[in-house]
Amino acid sequence: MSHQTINAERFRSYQRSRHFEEKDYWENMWRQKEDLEFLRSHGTQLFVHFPTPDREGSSDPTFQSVIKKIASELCDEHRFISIDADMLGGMPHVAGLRLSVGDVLAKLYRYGDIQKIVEVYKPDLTEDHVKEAIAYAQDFLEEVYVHGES
Amino acid sequence: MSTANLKLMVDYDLIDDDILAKLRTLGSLDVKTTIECGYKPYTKDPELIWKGTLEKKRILLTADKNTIKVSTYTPCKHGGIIVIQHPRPTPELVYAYIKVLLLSGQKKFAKKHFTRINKDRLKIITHEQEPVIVEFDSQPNLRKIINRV
Repeated sequence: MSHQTINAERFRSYQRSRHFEEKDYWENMWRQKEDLEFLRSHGTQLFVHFPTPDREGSSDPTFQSVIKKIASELCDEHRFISIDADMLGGMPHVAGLRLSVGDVLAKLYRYGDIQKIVEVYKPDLTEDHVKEAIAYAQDFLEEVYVHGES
Repeated sequence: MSTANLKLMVDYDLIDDDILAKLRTLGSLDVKTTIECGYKPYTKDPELIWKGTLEKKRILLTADKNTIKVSTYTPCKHGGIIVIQHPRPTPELVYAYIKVLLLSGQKKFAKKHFTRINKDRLKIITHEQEPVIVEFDSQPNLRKIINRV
């Protein structure tokens, strides 16, 4: 009997996503169902696993599209954060600066003080920018991990 | 080590007085920031990489390990990119990574090519030949520099 592991993150993300159209949901459900039935009918023993987002999940196009949609929607709530495909490859960044949200957090980790970061990048970067980047990161994490479960 | 200068253009994410000061202590480097090269804090990737590195004849030094990828920025079509592969680069780390590049004997390949440096190796991806890879474990002098960080 052959063994095959199925990436279930895509399946689960549709189930939990509030952002996808119902049509997409059902189309995906049917595709998954057909795939599983085909594999079972050919004697494949299925091991469904749930990859962590930073490893296997990152190569899943559906997973990535969900993540990018969340990231993009959060920009509406955080006016100093924006996403542009030509700026830092589409990473969420401080609007108008080549400084990603991750860069801001890395600098906060290093300096341990918002004012020091502002000092390095003055006059382009303000305290509000830094705080907004921190808030964005928090909201992003929470949205990804509790997505659709409330 | 060759005495020819490696001309770097430091990306906005690595602009920091301490990083620049440490890099400028390395004799065979010519260091300018993107801002000093006339670019804005909001200059987009394609302008900086495709146009900027060629016009300024400088290699972009960046910590943007996530999005500046060799698949997008093909070697030989720009002036060169060096990516510091660390999530939270400190001045000491950037200094060490660039120092090992200078001491590796491979710095001549960095121009127009795509260089990635992490704690274990440096890899220079070229357009026409096999990548140049220097494993620090095989060169104790380089490993020693990296381990100090």
